Amino acid sequence: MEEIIEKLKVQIIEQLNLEDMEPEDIDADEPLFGEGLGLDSIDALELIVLLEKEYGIKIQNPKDGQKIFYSVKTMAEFISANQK
Amino acid sequence: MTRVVVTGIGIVSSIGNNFTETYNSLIRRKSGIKPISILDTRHRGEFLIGEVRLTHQQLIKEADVSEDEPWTRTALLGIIAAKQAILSSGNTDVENAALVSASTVGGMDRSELCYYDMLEGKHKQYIDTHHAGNSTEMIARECGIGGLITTISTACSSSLNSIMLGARLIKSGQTKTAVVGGTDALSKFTLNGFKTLLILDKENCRPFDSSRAGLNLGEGAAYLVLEELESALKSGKEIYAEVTGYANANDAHHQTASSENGEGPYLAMKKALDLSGLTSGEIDYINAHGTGTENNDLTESIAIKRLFGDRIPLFSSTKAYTGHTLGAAGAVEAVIALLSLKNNIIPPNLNFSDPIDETGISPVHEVVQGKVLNNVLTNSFGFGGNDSSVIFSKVTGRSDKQEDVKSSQNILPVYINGTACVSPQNTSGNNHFPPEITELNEKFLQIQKPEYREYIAPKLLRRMSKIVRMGIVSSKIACADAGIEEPDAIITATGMGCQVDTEKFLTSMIENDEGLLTPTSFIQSTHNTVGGSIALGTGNHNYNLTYVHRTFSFESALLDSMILINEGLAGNVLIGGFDEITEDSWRIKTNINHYKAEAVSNTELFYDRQKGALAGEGSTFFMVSPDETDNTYAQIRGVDMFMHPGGNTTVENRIHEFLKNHELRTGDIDLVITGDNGDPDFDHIYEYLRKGVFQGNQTIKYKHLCGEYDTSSAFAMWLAATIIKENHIPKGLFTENESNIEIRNVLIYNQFRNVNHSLILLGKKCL
Repeated sequence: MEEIIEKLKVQIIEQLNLEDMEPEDIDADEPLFGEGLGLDSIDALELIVLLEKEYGIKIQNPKDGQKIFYSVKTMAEFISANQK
Repeated sequence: MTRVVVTGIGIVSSIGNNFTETYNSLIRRKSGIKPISILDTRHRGEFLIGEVRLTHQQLIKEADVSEDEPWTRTALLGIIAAKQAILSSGNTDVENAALVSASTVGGMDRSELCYYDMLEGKHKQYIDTHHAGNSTEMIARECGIGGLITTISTACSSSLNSIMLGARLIKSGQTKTAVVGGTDALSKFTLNGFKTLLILDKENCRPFDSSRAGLNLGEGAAYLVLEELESALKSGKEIYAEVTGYANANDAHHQTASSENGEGPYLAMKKALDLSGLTSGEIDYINAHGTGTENNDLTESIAIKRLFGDRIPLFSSTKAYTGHTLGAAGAVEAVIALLSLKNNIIPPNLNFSDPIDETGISPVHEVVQGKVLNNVLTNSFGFGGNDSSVIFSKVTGRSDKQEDVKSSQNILPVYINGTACVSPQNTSGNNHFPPEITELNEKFLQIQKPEYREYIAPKLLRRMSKIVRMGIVSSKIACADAGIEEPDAIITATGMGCQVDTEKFLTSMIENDEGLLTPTSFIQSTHNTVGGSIALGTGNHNYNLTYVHRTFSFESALLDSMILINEGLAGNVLIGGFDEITEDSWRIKTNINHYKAEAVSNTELFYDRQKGALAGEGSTFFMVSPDETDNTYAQIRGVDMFMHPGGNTTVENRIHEFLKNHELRTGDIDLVITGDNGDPDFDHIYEYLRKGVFQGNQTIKYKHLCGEYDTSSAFAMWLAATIIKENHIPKGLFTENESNIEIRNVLIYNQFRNVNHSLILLGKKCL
């Protein structure tokens, strides 16, 4: 799990072009949207593609994204549960 | 007050190749949404779309044009619809008519097929068909339209804005007749772009239905012929309707999504209604934007409820017939609304069964016949929060006696009260000409990057390409310079738009074979990204338009700002012109000798014998206002644009005529700024004029400072404004006929490849 979390942080920074951020700046439990990292709906769409591109996981209903993308940790849990 | 009427209509879409077929499809509930059969995409079988079921060859035949030219599908669709519109108006004489067209992706349907080949110098004939103004110029040529021509691109509201501008051009005395509308062909670029946003329904779209799950894309074109009521009555023409109301507003909420309270759509409808003088109860039918996405239909319903309260007019979306035709949607649905008005019939909203839970309002879902319709309203909303509404009314009564028939094309001057310029020179952050010219020896000139972080939050900056960054920075400095926080209108201009993002999305689409694409670069690729981002960043809900017609782009924005101020509809107008250069776009255009292939020193530019111009980029903004302030730079007295003059003497005559309209002669001009760009094939035109019409005038050049780009005349206007304010001509501008006279009148003359020519006249304040 820790490994996926660390990898995800790097991938999120790259995919979303978070220029000023380092992986250690992201707390795995902090919310990605709204209060926490401040991501928005366009970022959610980017993250859906990230999951498909890097982990081969397709999210069919974008509404599921809300739970999956709550934090880096919830993303990592979703990945480890769904990866083949 | 001049009244404007519609005397001709033309339309081509998936439900018909003319307005009769369109009307029949509408009343027979015949949708054009079908499996993909023409567009060559790997998503065939996956999505339903509204295609015009004509191949390239069939379109050429239908448009009745020569086979030997590099046609884009966008241009062909446009020509078909525009020719019909002119024919249906009883073959109106359009020799002096204006043409205002619209498109979102221009010639992308062709460029996406041969992008990498174009980089290598193949398919040269298609390189210059990509820009959004190409279809407009082709329509003008094929229809013989010889007046003012321009192109608007504000995403999905584009062509409703063309109709609005056409009416305003007539009312302000700029033209008597205008052909207005828009055209957009389906492309893989847009299909894949909308796919990344997850708003495409794989089944038939269901606008305003609780089960709606997205939109179906479509393609098409539609044009209207607009004329003064007086002249239409005199000629005894059939009149479809009067254009009684129109407005544009900005939602300023999100780049692609609309707000919870529908502020932008509400304001567009409200302002259009106010202008028409009608009450909300007098609107008999609304042709809604109704795309079928969860977000749009909810917001639009909320906005309609806000404006109309308990008495909601009959409304329907016709997008389940035609699909969402993007830049053409405004005009396509305007023609549908006009057919509705004329025949007293309301086309049903197909695929509707249950209303949206949150609002509970139901569209018309059966054909409504036998109800007299007097006023219809049509909506179009686009990315960048761009929202427009137009109202058409049956013509009642006779024309008002016009007290003073203005024959002069002149409008009252306006003032530049603030400005900012980001350029390859050290111009940003201050409003003076830099003490030293930066010498550059490059294959193309790039901007000196301002400290973006001083102006834009990192969270926003991360998504912005160069053009958006420089646009926002220069707009902020111009606003601060003028001391205006909330301009009454934001008008932007860009010839080639957001090239970095367009290339990014296009190349990744080609390389990944239309798979695994992300939305950001697609969203950012629209021509109105900068204008929309300025509105979004400052919460500005006002008028927001973007002009995209090559080297007419900035001039069109300038003309619009002057008309707005003269109409009394705006006080302070923020206008800007910007373009960005990329390695790919430079390379592609070196293949057709538009740009120089080898590096050249900018200080030696005008002695270089290589073909093409020295390419450049930049962003320049102005705050334009009706009154002077302590900070006023100069007065803008007039602007003029003209195509293919035919010969240098025609250019000379046009210059004399332009000056005469402003009660000036060439001897009154203290400084002429010319657009020489180092291209030996075209700079001789300036040389001819310096020896002719400008003989004896003090002249300077400017493109060795900023390079050649479509909106570089904005840089020239910045230069002129600072020179007038400081009454000083800096060194290094290749001054000829140097003199020490006070600089009171400055004329800017620019042309690109002898196709698009323009004139801007500035004067000292308090003349």
